[in-house]
Amino acid sequence: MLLDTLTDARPDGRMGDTDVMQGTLDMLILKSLTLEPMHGFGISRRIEQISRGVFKVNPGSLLVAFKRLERAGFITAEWRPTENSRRAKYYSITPRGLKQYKTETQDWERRTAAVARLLEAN
Amino acid sequence: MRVFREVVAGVRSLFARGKDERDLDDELRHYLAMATNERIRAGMSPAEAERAARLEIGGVESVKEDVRRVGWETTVETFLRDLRYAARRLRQSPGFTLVAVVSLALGIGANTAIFSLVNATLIRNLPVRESKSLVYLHGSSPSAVFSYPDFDEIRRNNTAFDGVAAWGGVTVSMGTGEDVTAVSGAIVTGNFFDVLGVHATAGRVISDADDVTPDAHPVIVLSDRLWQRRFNRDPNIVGKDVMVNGRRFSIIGVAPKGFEGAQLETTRDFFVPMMMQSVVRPPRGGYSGEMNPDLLRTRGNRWLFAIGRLKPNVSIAAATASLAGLLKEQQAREASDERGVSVTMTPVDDGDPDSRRQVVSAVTLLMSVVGLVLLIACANVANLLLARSTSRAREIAVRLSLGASRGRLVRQLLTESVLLASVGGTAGLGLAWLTVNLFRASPPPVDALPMAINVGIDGRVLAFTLLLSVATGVVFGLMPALRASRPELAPTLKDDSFTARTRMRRVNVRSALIVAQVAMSLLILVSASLFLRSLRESQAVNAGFDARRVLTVPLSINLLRYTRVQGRQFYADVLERAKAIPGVESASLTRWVPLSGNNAVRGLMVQGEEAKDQGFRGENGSSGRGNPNATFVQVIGNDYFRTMGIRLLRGRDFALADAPGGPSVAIINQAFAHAHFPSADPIGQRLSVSGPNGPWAEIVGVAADSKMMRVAESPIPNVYLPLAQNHETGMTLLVRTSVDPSGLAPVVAREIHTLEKNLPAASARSLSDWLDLSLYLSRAGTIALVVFGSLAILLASVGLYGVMSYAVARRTKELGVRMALGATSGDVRREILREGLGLVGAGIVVGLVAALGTTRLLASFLYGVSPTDAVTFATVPVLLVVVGIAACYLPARRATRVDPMTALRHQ
Repeated sequence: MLLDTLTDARPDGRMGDTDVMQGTLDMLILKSLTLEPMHGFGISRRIEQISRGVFKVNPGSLLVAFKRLERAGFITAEWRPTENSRRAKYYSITPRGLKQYKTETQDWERRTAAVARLLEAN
Repeated sequence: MRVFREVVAGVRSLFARGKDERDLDDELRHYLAMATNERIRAGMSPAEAERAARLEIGGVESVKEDVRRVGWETTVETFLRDLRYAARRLRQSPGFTLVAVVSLALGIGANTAIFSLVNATLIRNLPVRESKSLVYLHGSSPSAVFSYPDFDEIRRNNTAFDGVAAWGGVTVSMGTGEDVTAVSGAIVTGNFFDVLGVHATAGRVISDADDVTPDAHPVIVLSDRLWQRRFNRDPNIVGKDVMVNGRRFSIIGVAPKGFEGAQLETTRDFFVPMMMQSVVRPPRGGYSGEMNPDLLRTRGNRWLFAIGRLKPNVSIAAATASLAGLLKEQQAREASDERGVSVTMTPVDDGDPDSRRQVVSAVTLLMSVVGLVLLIACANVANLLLARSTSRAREIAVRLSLGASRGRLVRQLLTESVLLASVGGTAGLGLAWLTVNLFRASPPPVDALPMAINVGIDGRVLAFTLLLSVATGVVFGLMPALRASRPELAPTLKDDSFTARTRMRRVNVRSALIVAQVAMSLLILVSASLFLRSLRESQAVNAGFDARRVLTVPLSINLLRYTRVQGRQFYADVLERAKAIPGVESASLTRWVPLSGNNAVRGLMVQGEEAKDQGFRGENGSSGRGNPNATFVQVIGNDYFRTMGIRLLRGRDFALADAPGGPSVAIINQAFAHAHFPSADPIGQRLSVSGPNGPWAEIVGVAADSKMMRVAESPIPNVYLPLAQNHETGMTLLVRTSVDPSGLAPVVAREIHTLEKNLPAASARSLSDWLDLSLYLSRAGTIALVVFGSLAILLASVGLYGVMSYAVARRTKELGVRMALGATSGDVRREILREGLGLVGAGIVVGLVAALGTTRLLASFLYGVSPTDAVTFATVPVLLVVVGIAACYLPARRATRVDPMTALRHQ
């Protein structure tokens, strides 16, 4: 399932960016950074890997999410040199980000459990 | 914390734009490289790999744009960029900008000026501590006051207040050296300043320690204004002495700037302790220096205003209930069957309900009028913008087809409008500032206004102007912006001339705006005309007396506590000296000057008439009107009617034979005769204004009616009593002159001063001055309306001129064809004029309908003129038609100059 930026494809073909979807992307980014600091491309592949191919993230939305998370203080960035004397931006999760990740995860689990219960009832 | 971090990051980003761009570039480049390499490793060729990688990323610029938009600083940047662009466009079309800015300056400036008036009258707060917990206490009605013993009872025994204080208004003669003038101030209880929470800026204020023993605390606190005007802000003022009513008082302090008593409508320039009442508040009316009721003990003499600070968490309802209980107890204790005194309370922040009501209706009228003026100005600018947008249509069409969002375009156009409005607003603020300063430089005379006004441009007015400018920008800019961002793309890009349908649609909007402008101008002009006619009627009214050559000079001998004998002698001396002055025809005395807003009302009994005993005395009450058991009373000297130029219709005037101790006499006016003796001869009948046992006066004369309180009043029944038999201590000298009275004023003043140098040098005024004064508000209102009406018609005519010019330009081709086919210049001119006057006519019709429906709201302001006055409703439309012709003249002429050949080639 290729979901462009994890958005809802509406019947009329328009794409909307809901807060819920934004939150999910943020959570996935934070999750992948709990393992080790990584650059944008690496995070994109890592998410794909973690979700076993269900989510393929659009690079544009990824960069937007990075900036958002950076401004919120959940991740920090540093530049590291690469071969051919270029540089790459590596992101790492902050303590605040870690806490946010934990909170979000708990929320998510609570919500999915509730949905599951709803679906099970009668 | 998060907000703070965002702000900091945004600001840092604003100043490091280049670095951020480079970072983004590098990040994207890295991603691209990694994505490419990944595909190469999977087996694709380098070229294919790169293409696939680019496809994955998508549009680089669009990605960058998305990332940039995450930060708030981008919005700011965009806004600033829009602003710069808008400024450049405005600079490029100076004609348009000038007309628009001037229109807006006039509209916004007028609103700012009127708002500063609203600010100075309705939104003021008393400069005291926490005015929200303060309430005014009133007796049984909002204008009822207390006697000292009653107040003291409340002060001691209440449980609902942290403190209750009282004050009374006094006017004293204040002397510093040779200079003696009358000054108004307040006599206050010891806790007055404490309850209000007001502290001195120099020295100290009156405290409870100054409120202990009668006559033992000759101290005085000055207002900041008095300190400045009278004492030149003397830094050593504390401790100096000043003579008050002939007694030496010590100045102990100065009140803060802006504090002028506990009532917004009255200015008090000094404060003295309640214990000094015998010096500072000498008895008025019939009491002379011999009879001096101790106001601190007299329950029947009510003169105090009271204010209280509610205890925390006590509501007005609770406090009123608790006081009601207190008073009932007290009444039971006293076993008095006096009128049930009840106490009501109103929050201090609400002000005085009576004067407030007057102000609210006047101010509402003015704000509606300037609101209309602003709308007319907005319509002008909207029209101008619509015209401009058609010339930008191509640029906008190109931008739209390149992918600009409509919202973005509208935002940019609105920025332009708001910028325009802000510039206009700033200019308008300057205009308002000029007007306010003009007003302050020539303030209205004392007594002309029902409340003291201190107009100025303060923070609130500035905020109002700012908000109004932005709102105005949105109002006139929104419609043109929406229209402009929606042109027909295809024909515009093809550079075709507009389809006929588009043209008509656009013209209809602009025509509708003109019609609206004309209608609104008509409304304002009709109001202005009604006010003008009303003023003319008021000024032409026959006052019943000859106002032109009578001088009035107050003689406040009550301040000097003359005995009755001394008083009578003084009056006789003054009259003798006055009559001896060359140029004086006759002189007399009166207690109340007509049209000065003061009067006296007494309970009335007419012999032979069924009447309930009233026996009360009141001053400045309007309750006498229409009440058959009360009447207006004037105490006058001999020769009053001759001096005033009032005709005596029957009987005789008072004479020397009507001496003290002799048979009581009275003269009535015609209205009184009609009311009480419709069929009988009033001469010889008897009446009493002092109860059933009071002296019954025989009516010896009937005088013609004359104006007493207001120019607009219908005749009021009035009783005249002779001064000799009804001694009063606050008489005013009346002098009839054969020359201009103002020339003789200094002479009369000098004569009085020679007789009694401790009398304050009071202002002498001619009766026509009093007449003018009573019409001051009418005059001010009329001038304002005429000014705004002129503004409105000026703006509307400029708008009409603009629309007609545009219409001519638009029809150039058509007109050229017609002229080539044989139409004369006359035909063309008539055609254009017809179109323009059609708009004016439609506006007149709409305006007349609106006016007929709404002018009745003005009825309370008008005198002698009906709200649907035919003359007004006939002449204003004619005026508008004339102006309309003038506005269309130039465009019409230009239409005739069209050269057919050029026109046919014109696209």
